[in-house]
Amino acid sequence: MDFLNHLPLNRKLTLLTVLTSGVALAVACVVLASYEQMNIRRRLVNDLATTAAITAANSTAGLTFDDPATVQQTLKSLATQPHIVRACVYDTEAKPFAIYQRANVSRSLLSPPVERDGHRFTNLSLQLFQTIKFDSEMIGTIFLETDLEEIQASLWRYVFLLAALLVACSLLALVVAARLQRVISQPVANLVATAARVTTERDYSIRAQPQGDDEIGKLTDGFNQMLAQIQTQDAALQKSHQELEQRVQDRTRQLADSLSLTRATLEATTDAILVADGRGKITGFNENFLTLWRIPRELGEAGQEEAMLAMAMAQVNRPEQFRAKVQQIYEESQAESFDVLEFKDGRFLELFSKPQMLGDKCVGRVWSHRDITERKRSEAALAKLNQDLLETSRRAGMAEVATGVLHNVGNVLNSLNVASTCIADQLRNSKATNLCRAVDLLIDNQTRLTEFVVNDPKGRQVLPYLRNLSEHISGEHAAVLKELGEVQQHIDHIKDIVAMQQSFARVSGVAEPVSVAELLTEAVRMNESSLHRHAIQVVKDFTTTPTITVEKHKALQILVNLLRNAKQACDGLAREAKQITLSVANESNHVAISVHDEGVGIQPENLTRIFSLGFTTKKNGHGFGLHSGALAAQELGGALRVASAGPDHGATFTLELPLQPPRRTA
Amino acid sequence: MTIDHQILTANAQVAAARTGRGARRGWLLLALTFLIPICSHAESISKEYKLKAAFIYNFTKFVMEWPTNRFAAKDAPITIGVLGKNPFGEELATVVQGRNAQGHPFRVKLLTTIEEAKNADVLFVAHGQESLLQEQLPALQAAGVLTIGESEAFGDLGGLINFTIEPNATTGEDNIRFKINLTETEKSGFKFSSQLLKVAQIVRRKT
Repeated sequence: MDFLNHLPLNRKLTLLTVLTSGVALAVACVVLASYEQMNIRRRLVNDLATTAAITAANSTAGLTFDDPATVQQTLKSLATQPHIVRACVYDTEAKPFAIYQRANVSRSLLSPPVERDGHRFTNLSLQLFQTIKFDSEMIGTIFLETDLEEIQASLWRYVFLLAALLVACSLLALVVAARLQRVISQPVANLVATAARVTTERDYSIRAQPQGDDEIGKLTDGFNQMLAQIQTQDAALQKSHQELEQRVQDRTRQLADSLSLTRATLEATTDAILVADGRGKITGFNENFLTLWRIPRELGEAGQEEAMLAMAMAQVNRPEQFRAKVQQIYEESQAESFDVLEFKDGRFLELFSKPQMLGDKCVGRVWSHRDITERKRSEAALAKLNQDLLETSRRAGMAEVATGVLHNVGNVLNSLNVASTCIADQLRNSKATNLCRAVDLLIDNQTRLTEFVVNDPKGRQVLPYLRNLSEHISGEHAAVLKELGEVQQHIDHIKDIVAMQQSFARVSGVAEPVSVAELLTEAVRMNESSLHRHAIQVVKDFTTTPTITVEKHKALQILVNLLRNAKQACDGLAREAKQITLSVANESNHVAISVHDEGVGIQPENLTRIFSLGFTTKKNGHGFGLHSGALAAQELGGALRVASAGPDHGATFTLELPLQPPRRTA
Repeated sequence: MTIDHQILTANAQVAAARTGRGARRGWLLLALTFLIPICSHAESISKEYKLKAAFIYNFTKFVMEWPTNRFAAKDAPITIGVLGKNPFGEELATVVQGRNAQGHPFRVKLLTTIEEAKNADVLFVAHGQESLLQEQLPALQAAGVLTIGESEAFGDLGGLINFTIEPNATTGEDNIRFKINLTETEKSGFKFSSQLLKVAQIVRRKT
């Protein structure tokens, strides 16, 4: 059936029609031929049976009255039917009674033995046996045999006729189909021609000729509607295409503007800019970038990232850290980064990167480099200056405080001086020496004391004198006591002044029982936001903690300070190293709280100085934190210690606190 | 022949008891048993009369039309009368026993006088018994009796069917043939089958 697909529709239709009618006709012819053969045979059998019946009827008398001659005569009349080959009449004893044989049969045939009534077709003949009955009595049997030439011939004639009819009908069908197929193929051909015209001329205004109301008509209408739609759409498409073209031109211009603006901006900035896509492929940079990194232009334009990175790494201190940092930044595609790179040639570079977002998606990263060597230098100088100034001002401040204190104390000392001078004068002018003289006089007259006191004129005056003198000394004593009271008051005042000055420096609190874990948790919480901001992880390396009685805010102040220091020490470390470990060691009468970091560490020579007032390694520090911490620890009856293996090896600060606070002296 | 008749009735009853092909086959066998002895070996004289008895029976079957009002009923018996000397012995009775022609059964009567012959439907007059007819033959035939004889004298009297003997050259035996007087037959109102006429020698003679 495949070849049908390649035939044109008109041929196909014609062929199908002719084939269909041909097949139907052929089947009809075969059926007709079979039916005809059956009919012919039946007719032959009927004819033969009739002939047999007639012959039998004509033979009855001959048979009945034993007259074979008449029967023979009767059988001879069969010669009028040339197709009868032979005939035989048997008597009741199945013996041949009379025999007939066609004239032109050469050899004489034996009469077959009698069989039951019926007929059978052999290859060339039809044989028939029939009982001869007369008045319902069987009086013999007749046998007839006929050849089939005639019916074969008539059958062949019939077959030829049918074949001729078949051919004729097929031809007729071909003619009719060839004309009628145009009803279907012509409109389709028209449609195809129209479609071809539309395709070749690209003219969608062409319409197929309307074709009536059948499927092809509907197809044509549908085709025309489709063309109309295409025409409309084509026009719209043309229009939108033109608009699009215009818009593309506009956008291209805008883009060119934008690009030149970007380029100009990129080149106008003093910073070095590098743009990379999400996988680290370099997509853009400015002149400053090449200059700053001393990268040959052709290498940058060739976009050889690895070579460029190698060149960059060769220029910085701690290149592996730099590489790890760059990789980490690329992995955290959404994060911004800020780093300061130190070059081997002493330059400093500020490296700031920001993801390039397209909607929610990160499509690249912009690296901004700024040479901050000069700034660093001036900053260092400034820091130095600051340090000096700070020291100076601190000294000045301290001097001021001292001056204030001294002024106050001086004032009081003045009064104290006056009071002490008064006392000194009083004591200097004291009549106590007169007492000694009076006592000496008495001792001299010891032997005759009564007579002396009673009789002697001098002696008589001694007792009243002593009386006066004691009164006088009592008066003096009272005055000195009064002055001493004032001195006492002044000294108290000085104490107050000093105490007041001290009260500016520290806030005295009340000791309360508190869990060490709670203390640490609170300290971490107070630093939480900054810890979080710097992505520092805090590890609590303890399980059970004792409860201590301590001035909570002081202890807290120390721990907060330590945590802040640890956090600052962690700055500039890789993410995984950003970790602070808190541990608690439980001693017999005190508890040791350790804050450990893996940060910048401490120079060994600084370990001793670290707690002194005004010592700092931070550029904006004032060296008060650890100093005050150490003081506070002492005040709490404990101590603050430090341990470090050296620079870049981290540091451990340990705060020792007694389980019970020391008894405080008033 | 009351006994014969009774047997016949009995046979008919037996046949009636059977049905369909079985019954027909029974009749056929019965006919064969009677026909076979007729056609085959017997004594010369006896064979002649056996054949003649069969012929007489067969004649009745080739009668197309009996003279009008011959039978009172459709199954009224055909009476075969043998006038005077009976050459058949029991043969004739045996031949017709249980048979019928056009629905009519048979009975055989031996007649001694012509008066009795008037009641017969078929009358056989044996050789030498013509005198017993006493000129009554035309009257009998006119009354519708089928007269059969076997002598030239009978033929001369105008009998309807007359047996003759023809010598057969091939077998050497005598063949029994018969003549039919067609003129008398037509006169008496009989119509024979053309088949019968084909086999017979036709005689046209007026008395």
